[in-house]
Amino acid sequence: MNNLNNTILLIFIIVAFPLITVAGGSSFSQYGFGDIIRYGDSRTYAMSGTGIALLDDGFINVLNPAGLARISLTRFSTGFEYNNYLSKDETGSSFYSTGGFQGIAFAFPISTENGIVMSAEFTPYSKVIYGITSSFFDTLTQSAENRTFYGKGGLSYFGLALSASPFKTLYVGARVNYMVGSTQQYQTISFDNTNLIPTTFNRSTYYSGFTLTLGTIYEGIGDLLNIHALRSLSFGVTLTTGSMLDANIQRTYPASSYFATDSTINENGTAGLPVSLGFGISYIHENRYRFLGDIVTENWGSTQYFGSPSVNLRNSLRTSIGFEAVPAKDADSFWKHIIYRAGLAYNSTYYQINGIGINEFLVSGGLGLPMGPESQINIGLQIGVRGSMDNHLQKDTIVRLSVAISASEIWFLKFDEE
Amino acid sequence: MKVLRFILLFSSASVLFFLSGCNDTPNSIGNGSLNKKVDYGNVIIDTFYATDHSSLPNLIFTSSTDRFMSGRYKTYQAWACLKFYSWPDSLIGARITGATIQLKGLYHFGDSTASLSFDALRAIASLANDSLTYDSLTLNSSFYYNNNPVSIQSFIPIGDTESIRINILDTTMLREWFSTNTDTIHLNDGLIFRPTNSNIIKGFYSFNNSDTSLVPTLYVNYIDTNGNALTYTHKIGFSKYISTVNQASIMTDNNLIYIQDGISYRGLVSFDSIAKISTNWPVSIFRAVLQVTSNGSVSVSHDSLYLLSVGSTGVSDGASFAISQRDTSGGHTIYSFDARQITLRWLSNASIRKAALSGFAENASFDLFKLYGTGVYRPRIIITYSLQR
Repeated sequence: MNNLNNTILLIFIIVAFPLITVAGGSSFSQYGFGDIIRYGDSRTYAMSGTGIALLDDGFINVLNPAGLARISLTRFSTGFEYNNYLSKDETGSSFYSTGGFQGIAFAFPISTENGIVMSAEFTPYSKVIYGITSSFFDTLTQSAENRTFYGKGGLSYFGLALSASPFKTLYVGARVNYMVGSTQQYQTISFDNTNLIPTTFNRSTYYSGFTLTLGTIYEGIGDLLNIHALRSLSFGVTLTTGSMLDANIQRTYPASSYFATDSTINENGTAGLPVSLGFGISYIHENRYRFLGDIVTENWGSTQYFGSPSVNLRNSLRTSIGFEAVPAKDADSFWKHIIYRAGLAYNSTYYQINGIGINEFLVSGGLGLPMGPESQINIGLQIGVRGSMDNHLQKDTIVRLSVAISASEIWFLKFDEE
Repeated sequence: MKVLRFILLFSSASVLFFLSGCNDTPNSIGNGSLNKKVDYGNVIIDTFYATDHSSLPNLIFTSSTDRFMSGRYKTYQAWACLKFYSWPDSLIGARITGATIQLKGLYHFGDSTASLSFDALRAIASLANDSLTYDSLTLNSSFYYNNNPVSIQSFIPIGDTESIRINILDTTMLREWFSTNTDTIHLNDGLIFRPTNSNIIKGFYSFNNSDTSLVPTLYVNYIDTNGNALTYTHKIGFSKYISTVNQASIMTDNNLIYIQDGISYRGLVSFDSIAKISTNWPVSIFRAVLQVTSNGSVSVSHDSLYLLSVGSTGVSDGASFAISQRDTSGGHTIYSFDARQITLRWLSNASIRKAALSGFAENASFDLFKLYGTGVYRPRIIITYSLQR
């Protein structure tokens, strides 16, 4: 078993490094905090990020802290994601790839009877990565003007969560999120007229602040209505508070013949994060087939950035459904132990550019491959489209692949291989 | 478990396969999503005019230039300072019978046909201090020099490039000069040539020339221990000049900016007007050209100016400079400078938005520039820029 574990770790390292170093992404990420990421967990990834009402052992629910309550063994999960964008506009198309760390989470049961579980996680929240060129003839300077816009960075959060079960069918949880990160956006401008000096301008913004996520899951609707068929039905609700993050903008001209060192101006302000409200539903049939649905809305349209309404943002609404087929208890082979997952998501993203809301549609699927007791390798694939080519905008075809580990403390125990 | 390993390796290989061939170079795809109002900052060309001007005295370092001057013209005066030192050991304590100084001419200011004359005064204190001015020299004359002229015989022909010869007849002074190389009691601080003429200032090659045939030369006549009369030629020394002018005689119009080389005075121009570009740094400056216009024709030896960054006191801070390009428009000579460097400083963090103008040959001529300080020809700066958010 240890040999297998070493193999898995080695593969993770091999995959992770090139993923991290590859650059490129959609130009939409230049707005707001970039593309908002909804990993959820390696399990929910293949179900299009659905899982607010998902309460289960063997799974760290980062969508809803109440979903931790059934964890019976110390667990961790981590993963890497590969993103592939085919961006197309009226002038042509381009293929971008990027990848990155999906985060890491640990969960520790404190009292399984009372559903008290603590978790700590570090998870990406958003990602900025783009590079765009623009060239035109400027009649004022009588010169061709060439600009290149670059962006990278994003936000992440450190979360510390606690769940509890005050009643048999009610689970609650809370998570404190420390949001932190930076975005770097820089621009180069050059001219064909050599009398006009090319310039580079760099704007880095550093963010930090706290949000609080509250969640609950209720499993007692069947008992409440005394309908046996609904005893496998649960509802979940999450609320993440808005926040005004501390933001520090550093505008910099890089060191050059004009400045011996970088010339930097600092500006402090705030950047708003929205209130996020999520509703979820979960139903499991015959203890093998789970159906999930989520709705999450965030009021980005009301947020402010340095005292002004955030540019090109609107309220977002994400709806998704998921399906999972878990192995029968008497499964006796590797293939029978595989978990199958699928999902759909429709996301009215928070981008609104040139007056057009950018929407995203995703189809997902994946496998949970057993790699030991209470442990899986989860592979998820999301395929979708985002945006449209109306009003000179672009349409992205997205392929995302996630490879992640979800394991319990038993995974680290040494067994003789059968 | 072999199946699992195979699946893992296969998926890893698939990822790496997909990674190849992606486009990481920025391109125009997505150009339509740029918010041009926010991101672009359209290129703007604006002209900003000087908000103030003046002329300020400036200390010049004449010991480092290729020439030194002596003479008087109108209210201009230049006192030459010349010192030979670092004697060969064989001449220390030698019996000196006479000496001749030869200076090679290269410049004149004033009437080229006029004669130069001067008194040679024996310096009794070091003249090497760069901050030594005409006023401090003459007001403390008894400290710096013996007011009784040294006995000399000079041969000063007319003509810029002619050499002059000065025979030093005071053998007592010469023997004191050659008594030691470790002069701790100011036996050899050289000579000061105080002009006594009125219509010309002449310039001579200084020791700062690589061609030793041009530098000041001291021919020393002495008698060796065998009683032989010999001549030794010495070309090691120090030279500078100390100058002055009656400011009121040259700066007569408050509407003009005066730049006087050789003394010197520099023009100082203020551009507080550019603050209106933006209260928010940064601003991308693609080009900035500062222009000044000459008031009437000028007759100068070096028709070019420098633009210099200055500190709060108006003194050059050495951070940046630009040399002028000269054009003629409407009968006026216009000096243009690449002022991007200075404009960046003004816009980035400077509370003092001033620059100095100096003559190209500030420490090597007596050129006088008169520039418009007010009116339509006043100094202006034409800036091509864009604002960044």
